[in-house]
Amino acid sequence: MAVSYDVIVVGGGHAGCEAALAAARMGARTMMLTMNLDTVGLMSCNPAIGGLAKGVLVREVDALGGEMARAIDATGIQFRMLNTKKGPAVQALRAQADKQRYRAYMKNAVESRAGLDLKQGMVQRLLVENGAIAGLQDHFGETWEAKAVVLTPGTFTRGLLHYGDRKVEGGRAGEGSANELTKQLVSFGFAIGRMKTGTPPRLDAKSIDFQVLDVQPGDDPPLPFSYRTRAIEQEQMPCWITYTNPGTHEVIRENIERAPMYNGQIDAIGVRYCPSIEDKIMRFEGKQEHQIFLEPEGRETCEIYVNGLSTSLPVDVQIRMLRTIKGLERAEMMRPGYAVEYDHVEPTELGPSLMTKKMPGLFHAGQINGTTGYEEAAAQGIMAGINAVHHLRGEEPVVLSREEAYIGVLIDDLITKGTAEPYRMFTSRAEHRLLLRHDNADFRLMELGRRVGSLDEAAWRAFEKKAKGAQEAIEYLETTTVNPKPDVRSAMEAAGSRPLKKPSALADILRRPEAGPELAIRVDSVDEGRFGEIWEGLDRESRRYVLAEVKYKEYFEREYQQVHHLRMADRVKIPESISYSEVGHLTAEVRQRLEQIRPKTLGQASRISGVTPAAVAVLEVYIRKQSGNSREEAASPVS
Amino acid sequence: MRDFERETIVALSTPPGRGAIAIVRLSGAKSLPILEGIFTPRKKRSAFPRGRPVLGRFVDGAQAFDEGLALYHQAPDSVTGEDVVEMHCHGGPAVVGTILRLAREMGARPAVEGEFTRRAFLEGKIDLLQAEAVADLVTAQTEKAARAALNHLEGRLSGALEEVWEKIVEAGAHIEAAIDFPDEFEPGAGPSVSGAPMGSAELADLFAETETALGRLIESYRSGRILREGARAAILGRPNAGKSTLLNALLGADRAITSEIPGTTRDTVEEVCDFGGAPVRLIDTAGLRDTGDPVELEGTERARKAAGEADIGLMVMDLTAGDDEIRWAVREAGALDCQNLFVFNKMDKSTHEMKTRALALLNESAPDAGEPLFISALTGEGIPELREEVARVLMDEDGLSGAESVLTRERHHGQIAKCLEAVRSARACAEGELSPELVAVHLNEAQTALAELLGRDYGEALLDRIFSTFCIGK
Repeated sequence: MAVSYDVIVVGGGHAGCEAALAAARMGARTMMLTMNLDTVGLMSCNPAIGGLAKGVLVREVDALGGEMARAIDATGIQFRMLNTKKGPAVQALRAQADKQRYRAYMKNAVESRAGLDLKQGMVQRLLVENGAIAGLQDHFGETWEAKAVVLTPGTFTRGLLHYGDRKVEGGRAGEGSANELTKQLVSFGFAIGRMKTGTPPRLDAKSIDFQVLDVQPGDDPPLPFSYRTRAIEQEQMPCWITYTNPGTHEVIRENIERAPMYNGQIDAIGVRYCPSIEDKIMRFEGKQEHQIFLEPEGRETCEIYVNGLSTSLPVDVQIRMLRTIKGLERAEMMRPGYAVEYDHVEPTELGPSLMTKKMPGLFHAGQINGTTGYEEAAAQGIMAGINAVHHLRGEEPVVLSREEAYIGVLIDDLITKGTAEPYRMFTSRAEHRLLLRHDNADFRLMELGRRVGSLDEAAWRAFEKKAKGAQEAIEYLETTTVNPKPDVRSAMEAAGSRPLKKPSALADILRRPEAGPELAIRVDSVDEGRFGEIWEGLDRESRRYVLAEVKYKEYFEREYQQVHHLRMADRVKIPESISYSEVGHLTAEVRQRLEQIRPKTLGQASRISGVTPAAVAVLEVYIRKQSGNSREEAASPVS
Repeated sequence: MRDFERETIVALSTPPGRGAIAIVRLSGAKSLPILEGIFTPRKKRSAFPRGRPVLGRFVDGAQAFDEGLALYHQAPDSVTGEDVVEMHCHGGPAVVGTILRLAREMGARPAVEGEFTRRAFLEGKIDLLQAEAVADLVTAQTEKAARAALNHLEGRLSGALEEVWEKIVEAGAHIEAAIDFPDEFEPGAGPSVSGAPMGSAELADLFAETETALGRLIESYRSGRILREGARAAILGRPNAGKSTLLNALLGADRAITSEIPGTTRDTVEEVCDFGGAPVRLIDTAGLRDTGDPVELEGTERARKAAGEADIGLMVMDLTAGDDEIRWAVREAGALDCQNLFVFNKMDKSTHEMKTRALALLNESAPDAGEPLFISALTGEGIPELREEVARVLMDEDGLSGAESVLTRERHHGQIAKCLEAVRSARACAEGELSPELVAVHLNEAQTALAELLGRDYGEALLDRIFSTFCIGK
């Protein structure tokens, strides 16, 4: 007899780990099936987590109880807060990881989670009963039952690696590919696309002349990703910066015909914002140099990741090109760069819970949805895990809004607009960037994490304490009045701030662009206020939060008003039963898009590409008319 | 609603009344069957040809009642995107009436106002700006107003907006690239790499250029509104200054009652006429004077009110009435809240001395009044000059020539004003070297206002611009 689980997660990458952990934390009997147990949590490409917007995604996953933030905190070798000269809403953490330690940490987290079984094997066939998912069969012929299956196959669906004109089947160098899965997904009626991504060569540190290169150190002291990490204690390692030069570019130009993206060998769609070096050279001819970061892959390895030099040129061209670069003149390549092509399922096949619309019980997360990046994968993974459990229990799906989390923006974009190229998160994709900050992910999401059961009680209690302290500080700032006394004036003058003319809230002084907490403390101390004491009592995380909340206050209101209509449109629900063929005056194209996406709200409909404002207006009138009619019918007496 | 919107509609597309030719249009699925029921082509054909005029006879049953042309445009290649039929018949009310009746009997319903345009808009055949322009074109009261509407229809206003849109997307791309890709550009990350995003000062300059372009559009609204909605000109003056005679002279017809008895016009009289391309509503007011007659008093009050709502006031003075007339006009003009034009009437009855004296007194008591006009409402002397002067005061050069970038709608004006306000705030933030995400808040406001007008997706435009401008990606 087949063994039965609640949830089966296929794949052990960044999406798969978060999905499986979330489901198990919520009490579902969960199995993770992966092709290779030694690659659970492996960073296939760059040895880093975070960055702009992505770092905030990691914090959001953490606030929901996810693992990624704690994994990088435990195994990171360099931490940097980005954009520190800009405002708190656009600051984010990025950390270099020790690739092997990160992987080992993640495997251990998955292995030690109660209620989660880890098995090596490849999915052969998904089992379907009564039009819904019923489990799967692995390539050993074993059958596993489950009412919910989360697919996170990464680049392994018909993965094909390109090293110049050499082609090797596989999802990653040295590994196999899943060739049967796509056929079955096609048979479910899913639209399948093909995408391409790439990775740069890895060099031997012993062969690099670091003496001549610029050093990029980490922050001191480093800030952790996770709300649950007290401090980063391990020693940090530097990265180095070098540049390509016209000699490098010449080698590339001479051999451009041997690049698979240029000679037509690959016609899948690549990542615009993670272009290969040959792409950069050909597209930006005027640029004399391109920045290259040399990043250690760990403490116990000599492998150096050449960030900025992703390429699919043949191996002999790669080494020639590398040796034109300052510091790399005698570089030895340990692993060549390559491009990988893989199948993905159009994310418009998904509903907001990440469950496919055509196959109940089947969830997709990560690169299969056309995204790129570990952080984007983890974010989808945790939501798919949570929603798989909710699906089993017959509970409403957990859907984050665009004003609540980057996760909400990510999923809404994917399921509404689809994606023509590998999707990466940017802060500019969010309408509510000032609300979606590094410092307030816990305020935004921890309550939800606790409610659904993916966040542990200890984390929640720590948050409650933090929230109380931060709230007290904000209230003090907003309610304390400062009078323009001589001592106040001189304190402000000393801080280079404009003179105070009339009594003002302490918060208003802090809101001045040039003011910081020190000034607020000094000004407040003139009247023997308590702000210094309150500030002392806050930890670094809380301080960041308080400052951001106070400084941005008036802008929150601006943003709020600006997106008011969007918010209203998001509240107008489109009936599940709507038949778009009966809505008059929609063009065939719009009708088809609406039929395909089947948006849940008018707001979502308005974000579908090709759906014009006119079409939205027509739809709105139709919906209002329909709901009006049904009310009338209900009200009319039965004759 | 569904059925209503899907029904075949019929309407007379040419002005009602007697004309040489009238055009009746049908739009909707039943257009062709109705055409075949009403119209018999001269040559027998198996199918009605598309997009070509066909000669034939209009028939009511077996009885032919007119000869004419018919055109059939098959969906979706028609103005509304539906099947459309045009029938060109002779313009008598009887013929048109018969065609409309037959069409209704065969299942068409009379179109409501603007319904053809609405269908074209909803089918994506024209954008919102163009749809509005069609409506304006149909109701345009003067030739220049029609030209401004036609320019909109051809998307030329969208062209002026396009320039502003480009600038805003460009500024956005620079700001967002600096925010989202700090490692690529952050100073201190190594020697400066060429092609970094603009700094605050360059952004402020770009915003200033954008403000100028937006300012031009805003400025054009003054003329545009007048081209579309027309202006109100109040004719003011003491009783018997010749206001009603002037109105009639301007209209070229005896519309207002005139007489030699002061106070004949006891209420305001309104008429529309063409002043240099602008439809101007002339308001003949009762004379402004202190009076004990309650009826006249009421008229005087109304005159003041009309003047208050006017875009221009024509202060009419009787040249023969002496200094008081001028002092009164200057005082009265100063109390009114609109632009004024001083008009000396009754040239035909005045002497050269009267003119010289009047001019000197006006210059002395109202040095800023500008050149007054001398006319005779009775003989028509000076009337063409007066028309031109009124148009010049009301509109700028673009308006006078019906130029392409004239804003004519309050909705557009409102959106552009919002956009301008936001760009100004963005510039202030950039000049104050505030953090870029705050500049972006204002820029987003600006783009939202424009995107609503143009129906664009800013997010996609922004990403496209970022990746085509900057070499990004590690």
